Amino acid sequence: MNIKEVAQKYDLTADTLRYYEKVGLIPKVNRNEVGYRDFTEEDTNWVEFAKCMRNAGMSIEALSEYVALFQKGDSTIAQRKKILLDQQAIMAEKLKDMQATYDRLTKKVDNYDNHIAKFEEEKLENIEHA
Amino acid sequence: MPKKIYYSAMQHDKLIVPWQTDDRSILNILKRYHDVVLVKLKGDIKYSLDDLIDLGDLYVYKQQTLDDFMNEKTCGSVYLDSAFTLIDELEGYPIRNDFGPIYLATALAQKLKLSKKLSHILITAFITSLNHNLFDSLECFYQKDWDEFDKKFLNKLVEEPYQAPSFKDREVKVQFKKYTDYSLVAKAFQDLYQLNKIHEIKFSLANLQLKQSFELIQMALKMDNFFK
Repeated sequence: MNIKEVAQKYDLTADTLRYYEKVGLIPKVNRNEVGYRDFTEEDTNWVEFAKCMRNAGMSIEALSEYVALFQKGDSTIAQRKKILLDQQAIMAEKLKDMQATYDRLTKKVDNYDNHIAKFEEEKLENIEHA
Repeated sequence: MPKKIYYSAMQHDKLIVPWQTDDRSILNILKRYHDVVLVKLKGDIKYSLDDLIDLGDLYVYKQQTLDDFMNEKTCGSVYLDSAFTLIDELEGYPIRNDFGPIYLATALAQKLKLSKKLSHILITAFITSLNHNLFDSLECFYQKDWDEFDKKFLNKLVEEPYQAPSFKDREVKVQFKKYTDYSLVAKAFQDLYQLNKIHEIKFSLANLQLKQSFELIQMALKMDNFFK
């Protein structure tokens, strides 16, 4: 697949793919005989992984380190697992914060519901007394 | 084959402005937005922009801000210590009350991982180039561990012109291993001279030589906000 097709498939731009490759978020992509990038299935799997991890907030530094270690082979399995565990911990913390914010919002919405119900009740009473 | 250079800026892994050859609007973007990466695309003029995105060379310059540079983690670094020492030394001289250039030069020295001696030479040369009344006092800034070459090197650095040489024909590069670091300092000095003109219309990104200088664009642009 060429760079445009991959960009379209993953809803990215060709610039973003070049950027991913340049900063090491995906391994170097092979070129065809005229010099254009030719993505294999494995390359596109990396693109999908990079996009997913970046959307989840993984840093460029952590992700490029992970990719570099992956390319070094099985001797780096423990280091790679450590990177993923660190990211998992960061995400867990974010989820906790998000959950707390969500709970607070829910409370606020409930509060508004109570206020609105009370207001409607009072309005009805006023109409009845009038 | 002649080359064409395009610039743009990225935020959250996406271009926020189209590729363009005019760098002025890119500078405005870098000034306005946080967390922006400067990107440069360079390639043969014969290719369309579409093809160049695939075939050209992409350069990514993550920007360092003054905030990053002077946060509590970096305070206490040998580079900042040198800067503070020089600021103390300069107290007795009638110079412009603006330490921004000292911090900019320090940030570049740190990025280039220069030795303490070469950092001191770079920062002193840059400040002297901005304050011509320091020329007569240059000897006062010599350090004990400098040899004759270091002194001559500093004297040469502060001689005009400050900009990098331009080459009509293909540049012939001769490198003397012993002087590689000094050559780097000379380029850094020329880049600092350019960065100091960043608000002027004649400033051009094309005049910068070192990758590390490109990474200080945002810091140079925002320096005024910190040192008004």
